[in-house]
Amino acid sequence: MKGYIFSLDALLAMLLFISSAALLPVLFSLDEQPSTSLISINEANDVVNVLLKNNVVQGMIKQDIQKQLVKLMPKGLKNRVEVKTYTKAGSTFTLSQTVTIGGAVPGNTFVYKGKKFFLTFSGKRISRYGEIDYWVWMP
Amino acid sequence: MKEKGALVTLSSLLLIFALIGLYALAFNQSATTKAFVNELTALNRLQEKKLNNEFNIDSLFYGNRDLNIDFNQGIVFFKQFIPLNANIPTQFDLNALTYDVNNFVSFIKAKETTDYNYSYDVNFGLNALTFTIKPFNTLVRQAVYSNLSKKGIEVIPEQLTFRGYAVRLKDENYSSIQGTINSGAAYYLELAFDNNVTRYNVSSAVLSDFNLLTVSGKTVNIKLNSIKPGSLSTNLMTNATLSIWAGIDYSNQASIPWIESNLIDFNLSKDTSLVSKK
Repeated sequence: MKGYIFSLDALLAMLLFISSAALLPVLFSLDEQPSTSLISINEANDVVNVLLKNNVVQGMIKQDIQKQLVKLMPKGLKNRVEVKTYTKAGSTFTLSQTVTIGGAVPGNTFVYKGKKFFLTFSGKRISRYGEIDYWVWMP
Repeated sequence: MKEKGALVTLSSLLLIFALIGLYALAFNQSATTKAFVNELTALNRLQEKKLNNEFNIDSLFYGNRDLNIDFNQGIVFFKQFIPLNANIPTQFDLNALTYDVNNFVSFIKAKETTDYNYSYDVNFGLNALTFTIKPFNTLVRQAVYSNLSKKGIEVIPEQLTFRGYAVRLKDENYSSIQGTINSGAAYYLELAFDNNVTRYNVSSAVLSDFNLLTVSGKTVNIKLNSIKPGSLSTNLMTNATLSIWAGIDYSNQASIPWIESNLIDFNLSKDTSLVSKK
């Protein structure tokens, strides 16, 4: 009987340990994850808006875009940016130029993906149609 | 002794149940929070798209619109040249603008991410560009007519909290077109103030600069129009510099006015029902 109780206690202790170990990371991540995610999103959107407003993206020069990204993007955020421009011939949009900055997007963490459009002009008329896709995540 | 041991075991068991319950609660809370974050992210994305489209549409209009907006000591001026003068290098091309806007919308539709279900309902008519003077919610509408025979600025205040209108109708350089007007034709500037319409011939100075029209105790809209009879060809008008100015005097207000243009005024809208596929 004593041995049985002892085994039960040991089992309970083990269960106690496992459940505590499983619970702790969840509890720790509860407060942190939503706020950091939302802040990351807003910051990334703001950075891209600044790049568009200042015509950095429209210039399609990789070094310029990269330099501004390093300068403006919060240090704790990883990012990937793809910029594409198109010309229109008839009813189809043909890819004209691509600029890619940053590494592969991870699949095991919260990643925010944003997309914006832009136009470049020749005089008052549209010369190129552009899209910028960007991904940000916490490393 | 046996009872003590049983109590310890029972207590441990209860503690484990409590921990498991807490874990379930935290897990549920985590899922709820994640859904909440996803919802906020989606709304954020929608708002960003709206701003982005407004930015692009505005950049299209910026090069094409011939309405100047200026601020001077609390007065917001909307200034329009009639027809286009040397300050506006290229003539307003309604067809070109419509073509570009439609192309831009086609591009958005073609390249929009499939993660979310956006749709753009475009009914682009371009018969009026509308601005709102904030925070006073005064609507200012620039009427644009396809044949350029008539242009105008209309001011529709929500409240009469401003001092008055500073209106200017002026023939800046009428002499350049004076000799070319066909017999019987005339170019008019028209002021409709407080439902009283006055028509001025541009062969004389129509109003001295910045007449202040004081607002009385009822809703007062002003409408400034140019009316060009068909007998006056557009070519002959390109060197003319006539102008109408609608100034709304907010110098008596503590708040500094600013201008907003609204996407919906361009009849470009999108389906805000969001379907997340991820």
